[in-house]
Amino acid sequence: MYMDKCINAHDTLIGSRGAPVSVAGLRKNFKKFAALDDLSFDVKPGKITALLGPSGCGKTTALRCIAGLEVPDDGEIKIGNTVVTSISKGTLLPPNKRNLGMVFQSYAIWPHMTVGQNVGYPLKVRGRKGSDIERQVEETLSLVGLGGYSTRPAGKLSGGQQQRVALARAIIARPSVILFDEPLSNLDAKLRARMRFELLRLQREVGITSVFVTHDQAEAMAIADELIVMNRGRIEQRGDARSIYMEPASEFVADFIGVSNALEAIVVQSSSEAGITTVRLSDNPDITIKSRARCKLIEGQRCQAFVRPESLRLSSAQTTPAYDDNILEVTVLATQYLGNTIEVEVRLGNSELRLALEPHHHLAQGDRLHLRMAAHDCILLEGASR
Amino acid sequence: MTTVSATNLQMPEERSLISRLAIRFSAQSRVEGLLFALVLVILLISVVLPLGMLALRSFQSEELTAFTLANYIEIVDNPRLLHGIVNSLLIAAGTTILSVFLGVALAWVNYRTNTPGTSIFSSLNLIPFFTPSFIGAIAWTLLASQNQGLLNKAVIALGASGPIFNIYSPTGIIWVLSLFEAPLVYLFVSSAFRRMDPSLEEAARISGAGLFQTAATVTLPMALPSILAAALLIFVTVLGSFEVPLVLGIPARFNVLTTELYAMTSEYPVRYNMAAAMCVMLIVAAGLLLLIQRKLILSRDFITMTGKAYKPSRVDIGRGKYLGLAFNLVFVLSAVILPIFALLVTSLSPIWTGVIRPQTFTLANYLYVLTDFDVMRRGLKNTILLAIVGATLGTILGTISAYLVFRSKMPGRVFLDVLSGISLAVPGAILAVGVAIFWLGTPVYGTLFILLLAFVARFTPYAQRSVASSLIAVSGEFDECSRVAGATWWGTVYNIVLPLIKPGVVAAWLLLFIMIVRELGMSLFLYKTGTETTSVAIYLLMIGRPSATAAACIIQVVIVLSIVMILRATSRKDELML
Repeated sequence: MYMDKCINAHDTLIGSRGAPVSVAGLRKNFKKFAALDDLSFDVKPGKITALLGPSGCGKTTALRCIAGLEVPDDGEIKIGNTVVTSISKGTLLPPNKRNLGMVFQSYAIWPHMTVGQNVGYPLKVRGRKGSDIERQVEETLSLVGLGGYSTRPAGKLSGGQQQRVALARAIIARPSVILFDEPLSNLDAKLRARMRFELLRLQREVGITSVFVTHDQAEAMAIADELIVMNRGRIEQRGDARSIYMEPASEFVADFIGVSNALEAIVVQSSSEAGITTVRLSDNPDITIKSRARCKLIEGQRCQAFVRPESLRLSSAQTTPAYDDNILEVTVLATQYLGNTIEVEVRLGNSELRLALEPHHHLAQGDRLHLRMAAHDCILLEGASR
Repeated sequence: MTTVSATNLQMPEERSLISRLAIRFSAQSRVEGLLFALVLVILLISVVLPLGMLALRSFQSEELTAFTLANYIEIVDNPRLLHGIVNSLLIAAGTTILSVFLGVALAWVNYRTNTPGTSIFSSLNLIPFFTPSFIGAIAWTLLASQNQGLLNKAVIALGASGPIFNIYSPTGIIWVLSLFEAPLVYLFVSSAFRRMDPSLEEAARISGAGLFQTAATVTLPMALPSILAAALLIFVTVLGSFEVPLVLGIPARFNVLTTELYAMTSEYPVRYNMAAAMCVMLIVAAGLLLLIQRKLILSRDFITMTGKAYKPSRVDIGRGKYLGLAFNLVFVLSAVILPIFALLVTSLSPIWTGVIRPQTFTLANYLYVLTDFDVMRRGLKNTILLAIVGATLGTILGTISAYLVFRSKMPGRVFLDVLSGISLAVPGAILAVGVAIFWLGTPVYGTLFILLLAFVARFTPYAQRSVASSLIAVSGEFDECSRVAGATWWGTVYNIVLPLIKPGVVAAWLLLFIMIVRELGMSLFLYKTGTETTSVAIYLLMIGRPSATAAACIIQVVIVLSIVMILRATSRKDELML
């Protein structure tokens, strides 16, 4: 049902916007290691989709399969209405016939050409006229903020400038899809933050479907309309940044996206689906907490409770808890002042928890305080899945 | 979690083996497949079949009637051949020891101590590497033959009772070979020194080790794989070396395996199958040693010393630095300056008697060599033709196979790499015997084409290495980016790959040009009247006409060194590894 919508959307958007991409049943083994394990997803036209995961999760292999740089062992890939790869049908379009743009991790700015020759290359190999190319190169370069750089040798650009040139080259031929392979990982932290905004602005302006591979969850959350979290060649979860951060569907996602405190627990009272449930901490049998179940859990079941460091609060005085709040006694183990936050490590019975507090707090090692944790922020997932 | 479009759901069971294979093939460019086949066929004809022929003939009697082990048995039974083996091992061992000592000492003096002059010596020390060793041998006969040698005259003038040096001896052969092999050790070890993180030594010093303790426990052990690798390479090279023992050993009736091989294939009665058996024996020995050498390089050198070049920390050795300077000067004097000086004065003297008389100097010898001596005129023509055509073919082939090995995803590319590396392991003289026997009796035998074939077979791997080093330095994302940007396979090769590896290709061409110009060993096995090269002409001239020979040598050295100058100007220093 979702695909129908995509195709309708595509019909109206063709030309100015990008095409949808659909990937089905992709498999790829390297030696004995499965890089892609029956991977299926689709990418909405005109949107940015991020493939996010640790190194070796298969995200880059998936991207290279879309580009036609890698041949999967099995599966099918469609760009728009064209089947570009289909192992069962014996179809394999070479990369140059797929009408793509790609920004490589190293940028791959050809050092023996000028900036203009680099950017104009996709038009040149498509057989466009020289004067056409020149005009479009100038236009595209000003779009990425490098107007007037056309005649400069490409070998002498800064990292940020190389990035812009790579971007200009990827969009100049108005491809149906742009692929990004960790495009920001070679930049320093400040420049990276700035380029995120620029990338986003530019993508909104040209509106080309984008597939973005990264291992940096902050980057993915900042840029992507939709995130696909991958692990071991499979999809763990997909959704927008907020839902993935707030509602992790698995232990892996909770652990990989941001920092989480994980507590082993046993269900005390069965829950209805996605309701507030009381659990007992495995390491501290006398402590029970109220938390929110993501699935149906029955009494006595082992599970894990995840809570984000920034969802936790400390107070010195015992206050009356709201219905769904947990108030727990903790001891401060260590603090780190980081300017915009204070990171605190506290002991809760036999467990340790990490907190991120606002920087005005003054805490000392050994302080005994009350930890306040809203049941809504504490998410229960089926445990022992390791 | 994910919705899949309905058309894709039926997929997994229906795929057939044929469509899978078809997709594999279309994934490799068809052009790559054709190039692969081309390189394979050329390797087969130029290397594999000639060597296979050697193996076959080595098990046959001279009349080709029966298969027999007689040839191998004779090698051990015949006292003359046994002598040859012992002599070869003696020369190889002696040269390895002396050249490793010279090379390590020179590298240490230049890159690890404060001895002055590194910038000049780093170039001068490498000159012998590029000049033909047989010319060095000829030059040293002018310097150190018993009766007419300039050095012997000098020591007698200084009060010695008689000649001290005799270049026509095993010691003489070892000496000259060492002068020419030491630069290889020097290159290996100095590059190891340069790639060694100085903080490793500094850490030893901070931990309390003294200067020499640091050198013994850190510096040398770290450079040891490089030293051993160079030593093994030299041992193998010398085992198969032919030219220097030919020039210096024959007059002393001192025969090694390669000179016996030459006698066997050029003197009546010709014994090709006996020669083949000796070749096979040498190939096996060389192959085993080189396998060990490769293991050594791969095991340690690359792990501890890859990456960028560091600025080496230099040790202040006080007054020792003048000793270091003197040592290096003596080396350059022996390997470069004295030989060229001897060749120059001899070539300018009307008749060489071992006495320098500047007032009689004349260019008559040059005139004779260039205009009156037919063989040299032919040789120059042939050599230039062979060098240009051979370097071009070798570079094209080397570039193609480097691309296939390091850039394509062709199945079998590792096999191609191994196959093309074979001729690196086989001494030139032996490959030449194989090529000669293979084409014996065909119209090709005795033509320039057979020389061309042998040169291309022998030197293409060097071109491949030179191009590969450029190719490896160029990220594969450059090509991939071009493909995604819409370029075809050929468009990508033409617009992106070739321009980026141009320096490596140019260096490869010049390198091959030099190697072909200075080549003697293979030519001697393959030339016939009319297909002489300059080297062969010099060899033919050598007996009885020292002045004209010297003039021809100078001409050859000038040609080679001017190409070297171009090579150095066009490529980075560390790409010059042969």
